[in-house]
Amino acid sequence: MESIQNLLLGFSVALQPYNLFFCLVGSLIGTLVGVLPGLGPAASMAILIPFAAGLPPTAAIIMLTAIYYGAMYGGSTTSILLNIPGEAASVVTCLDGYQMARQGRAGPALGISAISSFVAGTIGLIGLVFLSPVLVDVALMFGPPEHFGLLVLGLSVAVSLAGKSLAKGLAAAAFGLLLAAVGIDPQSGLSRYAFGVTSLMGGFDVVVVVVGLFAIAEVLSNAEEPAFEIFQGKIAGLWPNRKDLRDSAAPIARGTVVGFLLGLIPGVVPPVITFVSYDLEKRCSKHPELFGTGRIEGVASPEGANNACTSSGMIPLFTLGLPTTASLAVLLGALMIHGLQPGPMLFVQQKEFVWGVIASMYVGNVMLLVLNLPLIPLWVNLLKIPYPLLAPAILVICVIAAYGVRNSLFDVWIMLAFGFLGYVMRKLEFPAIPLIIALILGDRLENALRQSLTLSRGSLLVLLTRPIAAGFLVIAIASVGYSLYYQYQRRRV
Amino acid sequence: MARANLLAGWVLVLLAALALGGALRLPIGRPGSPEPGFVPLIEAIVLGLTGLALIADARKTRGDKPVDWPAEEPKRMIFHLSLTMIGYILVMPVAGFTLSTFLFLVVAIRAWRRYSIPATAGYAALMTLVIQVTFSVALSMPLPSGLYGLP
Repeated sequence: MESIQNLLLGFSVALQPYNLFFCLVGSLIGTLVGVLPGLGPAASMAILIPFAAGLPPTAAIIMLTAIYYGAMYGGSTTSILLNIPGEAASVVTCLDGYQMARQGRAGPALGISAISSFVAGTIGLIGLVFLSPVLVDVALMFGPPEHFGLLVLGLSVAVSLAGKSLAKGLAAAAFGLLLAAVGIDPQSGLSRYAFGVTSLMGGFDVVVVVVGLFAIAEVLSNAEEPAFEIFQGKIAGLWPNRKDLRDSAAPIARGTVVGFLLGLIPGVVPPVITFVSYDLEKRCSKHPELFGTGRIEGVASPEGANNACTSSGMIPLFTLGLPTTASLAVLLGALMIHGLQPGPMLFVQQKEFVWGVIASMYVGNVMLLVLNLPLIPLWVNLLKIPYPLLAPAILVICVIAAYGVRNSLFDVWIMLAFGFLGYVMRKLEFPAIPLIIALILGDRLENALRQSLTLSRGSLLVLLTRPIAAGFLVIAIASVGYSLYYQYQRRRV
Repeated sequence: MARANLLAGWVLVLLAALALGGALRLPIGRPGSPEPGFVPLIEAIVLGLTGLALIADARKTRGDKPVDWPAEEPKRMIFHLSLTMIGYILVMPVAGFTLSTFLFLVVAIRAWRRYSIPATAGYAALMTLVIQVTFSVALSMPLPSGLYGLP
């Protein structure tokens, strides 16, 4: 009952004209980002943080959140029309979506994609509304050892699931933790790893690192690709017929459940979730051999999973301060810039803000359903802008974003350096997500550990004698151990 | 990939050694009273261990796939683009954002595809104007200025 009341409070905040406007702006930018290859939601959110810093916190976070789930809507458009995923999570939609387009059924594919996203997003939000208060009550019992255990769990699961090599994932995370240590130590005021460089005393800003690792590296990777064919056919009849809707109902439901549950786990990124959902759908089908030839279930299920996970990912972010994806790590950074510390106290001290953002996600979902289908011709026309014209503009926007963080060209150089690093990391199959999550969580992890040790007078047993902290650490070790075992088994085969 | 992993492993070990050195120059404290160098020390050790793990793994691996480095032409494109970006940031504090962005767009677009010079310059000028109006005027975001206050 209290959740419903809080949600109504949230709607009263979300439906204020100013917040509605920024929800719309974020939804449109998110869709554009999802449509255009080369600029994912994480980098786009990071680019807009300097601008969002000047907005009231509620409007800023509403806008950035809308970019995140808007990108999920938009990514499917290019997957279906061009066989090119606009966003990594839309890769699997290419398999059947593009085939449907080739059969003259691009309209129903796009329509079902939008409907599936809306239904899954709505159900995901319901889960968010009812699960969040439960987790908040649990999290209010946490002390520094539990926080440390939770953060280690989040990081270790992200490391275990991020890539094929555990060592590479651990290296990325360890490197991210060291990057987080650069700057002034908040407890003592001493400078760490700044080497006398004044610009480093403020540490590495997450916006600069994300824009470099994702946007710059993406443009460099795309520079290798040949030009793609623009879709020339007409798109007619956007609405799926009754058979399409009937065939899609169960896949949407299954995709929603899969997406919601997996979206709660740090490190399980949307591309993985959509593949799991697609695979499950194939196994449930009476005709699995037809998947990949233009089955509508192959579009409905992953698109549902995609959007459900954006809602469920907000649960650990808001209640525990634990981001599950790079985009949510950027959102966490934005929250901190606005002086908001995600965690249970956010629900207690900033009720209007939290529930306003949650309600705005539903409003945004409605906007995206209503706007996306009529705007498809616009997105298709935008796709006709040749990439050689688009990419340099993206690079300029990245420079503006990096400069806008602290009005410093030093940050622009750092962004470029991370861009080259990100490109090399992609080639050597080092995952970037553990690095980003570690950079964001590093300070909190360190504070939690130092406080735990201070409280226990140096005894690490405090992490094992407190059941919740111990539980988190055991699960963390188990996830790393399982990943190691799985890697070993794969090598043997 | 094994050779690349071996090299990456040694780079990580070197980074870890540098980080360890940096941490040891800070007060470490005691477990009961950890100071600024305590946690970076642990992080540096973890980084070093992962580097060693990668080295050991690379030495054991046989016949794995090569690194997917780009072919000659794309490699040249990436190199050109990288140099152009470096030049762009070097020129910016001298020429200001507007002129340096225009020049960067011209060079970068030409590197990617050989449109005619007037078409490239026209597009670059239009994009520079759009970016300037959008970010500087509409969004009030700061843009770098050059010598003598060049915008």
